[in-house]
Amino acid sequence: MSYIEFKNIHKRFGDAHVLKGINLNIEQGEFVTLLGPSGCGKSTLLRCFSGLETVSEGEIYLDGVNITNFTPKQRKIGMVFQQYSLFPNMTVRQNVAFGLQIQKKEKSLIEEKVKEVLDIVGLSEKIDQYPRQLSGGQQQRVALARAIVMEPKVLLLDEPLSAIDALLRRNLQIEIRRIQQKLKITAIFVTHDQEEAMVMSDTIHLFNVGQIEQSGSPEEIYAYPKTKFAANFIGHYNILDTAAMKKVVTVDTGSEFVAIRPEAIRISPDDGGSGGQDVRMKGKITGAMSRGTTVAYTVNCGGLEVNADVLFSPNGRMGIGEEVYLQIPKKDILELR
Amino acid sequence: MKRKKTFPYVVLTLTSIFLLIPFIATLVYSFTVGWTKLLPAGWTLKYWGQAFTEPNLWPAILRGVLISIPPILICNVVVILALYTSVVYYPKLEKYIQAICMVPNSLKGVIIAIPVLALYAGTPTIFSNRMVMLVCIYSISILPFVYQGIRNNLHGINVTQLLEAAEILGAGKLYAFVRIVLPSMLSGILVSSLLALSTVFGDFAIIKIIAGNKFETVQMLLYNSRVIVLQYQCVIVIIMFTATLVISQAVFKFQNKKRG
Repeated sequence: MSYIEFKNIHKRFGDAHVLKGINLNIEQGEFVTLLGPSGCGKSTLLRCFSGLETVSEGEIYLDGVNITNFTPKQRKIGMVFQQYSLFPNMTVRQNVAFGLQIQKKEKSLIEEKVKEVLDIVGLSEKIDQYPRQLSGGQQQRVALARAIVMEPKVLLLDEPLSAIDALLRRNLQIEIRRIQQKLKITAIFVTHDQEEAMVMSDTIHLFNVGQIEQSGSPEEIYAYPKTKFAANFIGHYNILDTAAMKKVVTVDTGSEFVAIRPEAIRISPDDGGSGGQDVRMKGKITGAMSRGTTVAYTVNCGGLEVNADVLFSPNGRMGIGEEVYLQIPKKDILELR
Repeated sequence: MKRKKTFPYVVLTLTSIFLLIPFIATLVYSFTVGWTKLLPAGWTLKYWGQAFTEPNLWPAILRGVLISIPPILICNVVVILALYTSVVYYPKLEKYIQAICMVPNSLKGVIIAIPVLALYAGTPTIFSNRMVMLVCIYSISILPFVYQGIRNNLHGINVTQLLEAAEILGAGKLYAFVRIVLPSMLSGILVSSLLALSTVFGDFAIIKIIAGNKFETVQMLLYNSRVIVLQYQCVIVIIMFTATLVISQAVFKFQNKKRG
């Protein structure tokens, strides 16, 4: 039995069927990300787990106990919200101590634990400041400290970094992951940012319209998307209509669409000869965009637009209108459901 | 390059002058013995001396403050509880609460006072007591100010998420509301309460209809002293203004001290 189990979870808001039979297992100590676009149901599932929403159907188990009808307090979980939700009338110390005070812990123990977690999140010197005196990143770290000081069974993070600017966000991603690994805490993280999910997670569950589209490690999800939605959402895949592709080149696939990573395509001005493991296409460059370390080419192969990312080389840049040959390893042509 | 901020300064200065002119004119007039066509005929402290030795003035100010407090308390409690319930449990109710709270804007105090007097005066209920009548009518007439101030504040602090965060940490909704939401709304409550205080403090019509001469506030004192010279009335106005200012400053000082 897994540490957390979602069994056939349905959630309806009036006529809207937001979660459609979610089955999901999470192991202890795992960092799991629920990834998907806005409105796909990922936050709703998190809120159902926290007890802030009730499920319409199905059961949730935590450590072998059915917690479906438990109040948030009974579930012993910690949660970090998108908008920090720090108590504005309380200092950092009071915010972090709030949950422990409710539990009527001894004053000396509260003080000790508050200092310990603030040390972990690197905010010891801000202990007597009010939330309004802190930056967004600092506020979010206080929110994290407030959650972990309770030693929760599971830490829930509901898009905690989406209100923070890009540079700080990258630092906090690493910081949160470091703290999670240090405390060996089970964490469920909700985000719509695929890069964030890739950086932080042990496992990603990709959501689409109330269902799990695909689950796996970040590498699996990135390298082997199984559906058109997954390929579209996860990376900058070329998603090609097989029928249109067959007009240009011979491919052996039964699926309607195939996906090809732009960096899997080799591009050269001359035909490198035939190789049984590669698919070759001739085309003309219609676009070239420098992205620093790579150059993104758009190549028109008999009406089929293909994007190819090539490592930047000062002498090897090809121009628009130039005729080129694309070479795609067959193993990198992924059939989509 | 530093942008010049001349325009805002000019606007602010002109507005300040515009707002201060009546106050300064009243103050200056209170020190005069009379007025020629253009300038004061002379200066005197006589009316200020009279005011400070007038036995009815200070009790009248105190009465004004005392009659303001119960309606403000009642109104705040009712509005806070109603908004708490609507925000936390029934968000759809809020528009109805808003509509109800705005009704007194169109029903001015006099319009409420006369039917209340006709309905309850002489009845064997507690509402026949003039003080109770006054408190109830004031509670209704200050409702729009109190509601608007508290509502704006409540919406500015994302109550739902604060309550959820507290709930996850083990607090009950009501406990979280009292411990977190209410203190965070204090500035809004104080501002709307001060607005309500100045409304009640400055009322003449309702108190005249309901209490007649039995409950003499400063406004009533002013009315009764209308035969007295204008300079004396100016002194009373300045004292009232100062009293309101002192109360509001004391409240804000207290609030800032609590915030740290």
